[in-house]
Amino acid sequence: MKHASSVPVTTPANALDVKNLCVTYGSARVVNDVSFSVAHGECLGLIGESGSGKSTILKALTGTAPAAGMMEILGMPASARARDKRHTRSVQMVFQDPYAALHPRHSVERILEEPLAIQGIGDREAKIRASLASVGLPLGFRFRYPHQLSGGQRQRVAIARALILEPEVLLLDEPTSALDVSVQAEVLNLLAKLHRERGLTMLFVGHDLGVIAHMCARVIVLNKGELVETLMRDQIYSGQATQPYTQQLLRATNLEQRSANRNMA
Amino acid sequence: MSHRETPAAAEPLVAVENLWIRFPGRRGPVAAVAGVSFSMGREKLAIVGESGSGKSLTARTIMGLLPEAAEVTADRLSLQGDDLRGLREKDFARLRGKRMAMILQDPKQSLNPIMTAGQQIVESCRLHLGDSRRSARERALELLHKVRIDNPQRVFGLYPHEVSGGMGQRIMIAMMLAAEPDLLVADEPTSALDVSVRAEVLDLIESLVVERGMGLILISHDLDLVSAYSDRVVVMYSGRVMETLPASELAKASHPYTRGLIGCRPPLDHRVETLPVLKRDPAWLS
Amino acid sequence: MRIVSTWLDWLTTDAPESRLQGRLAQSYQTFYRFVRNPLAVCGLVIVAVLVGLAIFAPLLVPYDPLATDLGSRLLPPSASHWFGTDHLGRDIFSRVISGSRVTLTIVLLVAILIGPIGMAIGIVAGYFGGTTDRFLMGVTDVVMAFPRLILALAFVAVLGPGLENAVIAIAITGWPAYARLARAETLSLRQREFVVAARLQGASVVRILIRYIAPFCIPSVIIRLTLDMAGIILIAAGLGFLGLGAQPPAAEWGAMVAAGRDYLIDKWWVATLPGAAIFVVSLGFNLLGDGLRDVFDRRVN
Repeated sequence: MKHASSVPVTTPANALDVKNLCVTYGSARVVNDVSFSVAHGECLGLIGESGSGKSTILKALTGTAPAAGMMEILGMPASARARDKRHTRSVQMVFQDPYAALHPRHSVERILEEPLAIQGIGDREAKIRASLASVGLPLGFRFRYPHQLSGGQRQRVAIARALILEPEVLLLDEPTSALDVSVQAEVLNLLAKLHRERGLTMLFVGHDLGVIAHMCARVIVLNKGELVETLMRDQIYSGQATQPYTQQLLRATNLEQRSANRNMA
Repeated sequence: MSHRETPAAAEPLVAVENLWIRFPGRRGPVAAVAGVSFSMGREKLAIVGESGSGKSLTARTIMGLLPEAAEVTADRLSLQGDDLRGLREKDFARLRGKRMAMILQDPKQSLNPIMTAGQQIVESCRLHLGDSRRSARERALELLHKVRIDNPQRVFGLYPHEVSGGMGQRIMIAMMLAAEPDLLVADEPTSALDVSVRAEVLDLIESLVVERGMGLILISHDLDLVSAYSDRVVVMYSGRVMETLPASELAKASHPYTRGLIGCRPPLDHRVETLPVLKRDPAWLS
Repeated sequence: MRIVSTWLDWLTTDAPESRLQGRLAQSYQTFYRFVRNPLAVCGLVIVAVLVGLAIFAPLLVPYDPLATDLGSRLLPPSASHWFGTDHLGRDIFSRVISGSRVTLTIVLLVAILIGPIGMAIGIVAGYFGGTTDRFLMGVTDVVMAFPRLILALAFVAVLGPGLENAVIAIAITGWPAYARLARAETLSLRQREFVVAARLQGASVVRILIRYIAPFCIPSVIIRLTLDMAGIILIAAGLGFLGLGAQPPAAEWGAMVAAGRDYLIDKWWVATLPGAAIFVVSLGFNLLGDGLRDVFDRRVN
């Protein structure tokens, strides 16, 4: 419990605060002066094409990209968090490639146990059971190895692993882009359910407007490292956008869907 | 040869009947494609399915690009009436380029990284059409222009890593169409490209195919794409054909798998609380 | 037959029902892939025979390898002396067998030194990058620039002849390849998502290096070691040939070849048979290494 101190402890208003973030690799400015905030329990979408810098922003937040600018997660600067093991557990990440996200030589049980072992948390058997149940995987799966799981099952294990430490913030780097559309639907439903049940703050990166609009009420559009526009879900559904790039993006996505809707409505 | 159609009817461009592709497995052969049949004329046929459905394998059988271990049997497997069963690599090599061509997913991987775009098209022209170096170069520039590249001279000298994904695909298309084949197989041609570039590349493929009176087999996992850019759709699941229907009638799809695939995409114009989930019925595999 | 097939089903299942089954099934897969390759099994058998001979040498030798019998010098292979006798009347067969101990000792000691040390240097260089990497790779490059046998000779010349010094000399020149191997693997693994995930969970650097990076470097190091064995044996034999390895009267194959040099034309068995032993063992390690490479060299994905 917090002890009395002379410095008042305030709950930060936002779970995530990013101001003037710049990421430069050599001579290339991959992320240029991007600022945004995510409130507690909100799911913010980051949409952009390849080269937009969306994944780089996640890398900057986790400390794997050379970043300049202010980044605060749960009131603490991102760089300070990385140094303390206790703080790392409140921010976890789900990756895009289900094939590379799990240690190929570890069983599911070991994969889920690892974060608990690192953080020195007890009662592991029960937590692992609960974790598998929360992502809809049967208990028997814990003896399987990643190559004995389908892409969707691996992604569920990755989500279970991310949530077993009970983080407050979940970063998602295109978690369904590598999955079949029917499997994607299941995983999106799972993520939405977990978001609701646990009040997670989520930062969802993707390139598929339909997926992002489904998951996120508010969306940031990125182009070539710059923040172009912020859209609310309704604006996406009604096709309203003020910036030409966003309009182009909406049009391109809608083009196929609209003619498809003609055929499939 | 079985004569289904009246003697006056044209031989289909591609005819596949009861195709089975088996691979040796730990406990006996495993069927990756089980009894697939379809035929097509000079039209745009899409084969749509998820990963593991066998759509890519089916197309590669026509091109003769299956791995050594694959065992192929079919009642009928023909390209313009020529039997493709039991052909050897050198026979396929004669057909590829001249009669049929294939575009793959990632141009960065299917283009030769140490040759410029122009050199690769020139090589294709010289190989299949027997052009001299000069006429091959002219033809290559013309082809680059045909695939709507603004500055063919400049792009001629670029290496694959110097061009964007969309342009790489156009170069690939130019290379594949150099020898004027009758059939084009496009295996997920836009999956590796950005959304905004996809429509351009697909429009290009469509217009070239229509203009030259070619047949197109478009393979994709994306129902929206397929419905917009094909005439007929073959829906595959787990190595089998679930149904075949005109693209315009996808809304009236009768098979529950197709309906499930259509329904589980997140809609772009309204919110749903929970996305409908596709329930796989084992009865579909019988 | 039915029992075997149910056992096989149990081992090859894709849905293990217990921790033990899961682990055994994984090991079985590896074992099966290896056993399918007859040349690899051949290599394994040769190496196993070498190890067996080395362990049981005192029990297997028909004659005392060091006992001279000047009345029986340079006898050709016969029923009583399978490999004949050398210039001091010693039974060559017994000397070849007991020489296996020397060979195996050298090979094992060198492997224990260069494998882990080279791997550690490479992993550290690859993971930390920057100046650490440049410095360590610079050292590696310098050592690698020297021809191995010459450098080993130089060390032995400084340290003096003898078995232990030969081992040290060979080891000092042998580790760079392993450092490079491990560094290359580490570079590709460092950014892999499951390693990033471990970092996000708060894993310490040591934990990541030992549990996440090292296990993937070990297969290539082992494979390289078995392929290197042949080279190590030959360098040891070379040193022995020059009188700088194991000292007489110890039976060491290289020294035996050297001693038989003078009699090569008409008493060919004195040099040729120990030489054949060197050849067979080198081949055995080579085949084993190739077999292991086929089994282990699957890309992580």
